Amino acid sequence: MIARIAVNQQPGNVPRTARKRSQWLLAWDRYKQNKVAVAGLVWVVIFFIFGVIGPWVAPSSYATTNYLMANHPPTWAYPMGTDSLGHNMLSEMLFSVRYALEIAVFASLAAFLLGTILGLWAGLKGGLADTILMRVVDFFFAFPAYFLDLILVTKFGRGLGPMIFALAVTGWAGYARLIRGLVLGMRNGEMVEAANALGASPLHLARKYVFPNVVSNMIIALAFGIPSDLTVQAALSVVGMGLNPPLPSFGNMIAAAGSNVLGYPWLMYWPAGIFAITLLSFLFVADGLQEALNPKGGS
Amino acid sequence: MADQPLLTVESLYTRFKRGTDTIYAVNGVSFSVSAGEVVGVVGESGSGKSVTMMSLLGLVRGRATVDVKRATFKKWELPRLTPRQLEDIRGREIGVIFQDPMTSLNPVMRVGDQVMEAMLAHQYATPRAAFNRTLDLLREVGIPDAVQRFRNYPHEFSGGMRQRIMIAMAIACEPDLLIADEPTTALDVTVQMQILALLQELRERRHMSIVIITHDFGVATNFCDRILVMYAGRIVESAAVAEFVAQPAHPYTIGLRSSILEIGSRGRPLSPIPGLPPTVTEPPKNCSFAPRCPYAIDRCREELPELRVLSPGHEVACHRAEEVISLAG
Amino acid sequence: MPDSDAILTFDRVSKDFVVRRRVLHAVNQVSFSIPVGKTVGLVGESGSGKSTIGRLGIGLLPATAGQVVFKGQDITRLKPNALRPLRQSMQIIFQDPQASLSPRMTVGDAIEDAMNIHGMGTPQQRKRRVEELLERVGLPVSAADAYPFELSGGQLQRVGIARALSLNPELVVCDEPVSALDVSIQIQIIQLLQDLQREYHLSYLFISHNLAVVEYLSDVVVVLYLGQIVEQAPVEELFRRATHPYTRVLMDSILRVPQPGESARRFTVLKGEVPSPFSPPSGCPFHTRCPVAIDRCSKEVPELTLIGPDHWVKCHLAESAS
Repeated sequence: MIARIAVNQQPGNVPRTARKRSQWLLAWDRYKQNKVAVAGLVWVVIFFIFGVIGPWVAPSSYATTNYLMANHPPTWAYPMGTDSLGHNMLSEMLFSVRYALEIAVFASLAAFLLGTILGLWAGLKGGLADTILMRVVDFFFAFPAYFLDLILVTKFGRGLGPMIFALAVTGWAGYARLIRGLVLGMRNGEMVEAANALGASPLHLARKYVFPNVVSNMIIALAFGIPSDLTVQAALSVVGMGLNPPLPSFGNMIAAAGSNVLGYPWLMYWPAGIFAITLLSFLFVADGLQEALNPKGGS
Repeated sequence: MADQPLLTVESLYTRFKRGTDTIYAVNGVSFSVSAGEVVGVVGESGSGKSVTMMSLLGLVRGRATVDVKRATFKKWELPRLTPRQLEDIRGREIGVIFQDPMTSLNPVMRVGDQVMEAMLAHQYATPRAAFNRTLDLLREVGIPDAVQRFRNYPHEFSGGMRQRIMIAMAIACEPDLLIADEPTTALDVTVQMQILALLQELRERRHMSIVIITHDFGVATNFCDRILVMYAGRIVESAAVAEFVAQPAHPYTIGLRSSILEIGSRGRPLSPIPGLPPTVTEPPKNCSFAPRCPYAIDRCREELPELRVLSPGHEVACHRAEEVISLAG
Repeated sequence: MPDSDAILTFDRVSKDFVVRRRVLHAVNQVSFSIPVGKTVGLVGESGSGKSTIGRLGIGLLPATAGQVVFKGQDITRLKPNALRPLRQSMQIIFQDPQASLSPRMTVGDAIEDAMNIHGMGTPQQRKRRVEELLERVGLPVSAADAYPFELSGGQLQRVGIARALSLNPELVVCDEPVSALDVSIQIQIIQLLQDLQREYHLSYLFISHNLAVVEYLSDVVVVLYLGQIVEQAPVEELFRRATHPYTRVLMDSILRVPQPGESARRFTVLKGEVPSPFSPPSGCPFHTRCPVAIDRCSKEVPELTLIGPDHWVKCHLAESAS
């Protein structure tokens, strides 16, 4: 097949955009065009800030109870009201943000790093290593992740560490498969052939040619991975296998409020509302990144 | 050849939004195609040759705006038709084939069914009649063992065979006009000859008009009755092949022709046209070819040359066409 | 035909690929050599093995059988590490320059990386050389900061050429370097390749499906069909006395713009398409499509026969004629 390439310059000229600008700045320019993604990013940043400072700015510990004020609607002292044990909902929320982020970010990062390294290795190396890894990945895909998570938290407990471990174990295979596929597609392409013809060593090839061309896809995958881990976390709470109380989490709060939503609606509105907005924001950011980082898209 | 025009187009403009830019892809194109005539639209990528035809058929993609003063095909005013009506004319009255048949064929549908579908969609024939006609069509376009091949899928055919199937679909409803967009560009040279021979044969047998869009002067001059040369979204020259070959008048045409290597060119010094074709990002106010033109004068940079009659049947959009002929000759 | 003046020699080189457990004979017993400073043109349609031969020639693919000799050194069985230093001397230019460049590297970085790999010069020297190279291939120095998607096809091909040149190669494989370009750009690139050859005394292996382009650039032409050489001769000889029926068909397939007064030609049609290389025909591979085939052609493989000065043909009819 003959590729036809559009010619789009004035005679002899090189494009007006040809200033030395990094791909990342160009991507940021494209990202800024997408208002929804920018809004999502603002919320995500706020969420992260509260994730870091939450425990310090919280008016009380999440465990402090005040039975006299149980199930109280929002007041000045308790801006988000209190639950059936008299926990200050604002404190609960602030700590939830922290734990939710801690779990989602570390679990995703762990899965991502493991998946990326294995995927790069399998894709570049090929042969037996690739075959074995892909069989393992197939196993993880064939087995419902949610059940595996349930089994793992049942076995190892419901603390922060086991939760991160469980989510990382079920998450890496997706990253590995994605990266391996990208690398494989590239390995047979002309870019790699050209680099080989230049005499690039395998390491140079991986570092200068393959990696920079998969990194944006990896960032996009990670951006989609975090909200998905948030969801799984909350879903585990629904069946009573979320973070071990009294550790607060969105899932626990939503699950607990569900039984009493007519009597004490604020117990549902705050966690469910903020959780929903957060999930959406992460997805908007991921979407925005996908558009901005895809070099063929915008130009 | 009848002189009654089958297709008449007057002042066609197409522009695209691309990011913050507006690309002026077609900038006032007027032409006509007579019944039974074969017209070649020749130009390089970005010249608007393909967009011109696709604009008329309602097939331009992306954020495009099409303006046209008049576009008459047979009894229809194309701009007045609803998308539904246009779709019905496309395929029934006007057949279209593309460079890459694989993108137009449905990969999970048997090719015979696809050819049948072309007729059934336009209520051109009953299913039984369409079936028999499909077998005839497959034979007519040179697919051996039509009965067996009817049941194969597109990927089971070679590139040349797929293009034949596309042609069978395009001519299934006996259109009066066939638009072929680079139909042989992706094919091996020997297969290109086969497809051109097939199109020529069909044209003679069915007395169809053909508009072939190509970048290849060799194809255009051997296949067509008349040639339109496009540059930067405008027709710069239009002439019958004999005249076109004997006396090309636009500097771009002349430059392009001398850019073609033919057997026997060895040792001949090359004289490439300098520079690149432009992307037109504002409505043209002067000659778009002037920056690359060896004959350009101030007037070319100030005034847009309109397509004008140089001699009967020969039109050119160049202020200096007469001088260019004598200088280049 | 070993040749001491040759920069590259193919000696009965074959290449098989295994695709889904079926063996594909992509290149079959191919022998020819490229004299220093000359151009050998490889012509053929899809499936002829021409691109595979180009890659075998610079060790991007290992040969299944036979020898590829570069400047007296057999590179056929060299390990990648041993081959790497030789890469400087042999380079390749691709059909689709966009696909061969990393979209994440500026043009300048792409050219510089070639020199980087071989540890050529200091960073300042490399930068200066990038600028020189860009100018030499007809691009403004500012192009160094552009990303590939910002340039046109013709400009990108110039970048590909600059990158190949940066290593001071002696041999350059040009794999359909102009096929994807517009007509007016094609001859700009052909002219550039020709000028560079004279200037740097380069040897080219020029691969194309277009016989007219090959005629223009080559000193020796090798015509391939289904992985085999069917005819080979110095360019003038070949075009004066094309003997293999397939070569003649290829020549007929170039549609020439008619001369004034000359009528348009009928399209001469060669029946069928190139057979699948998985199951090549018996005897002469071309006999299924050959307009003049006789019985013998389907049974017996013809030998490559010398029919004139350095003019080799693989055809039964040519054998009997000579």
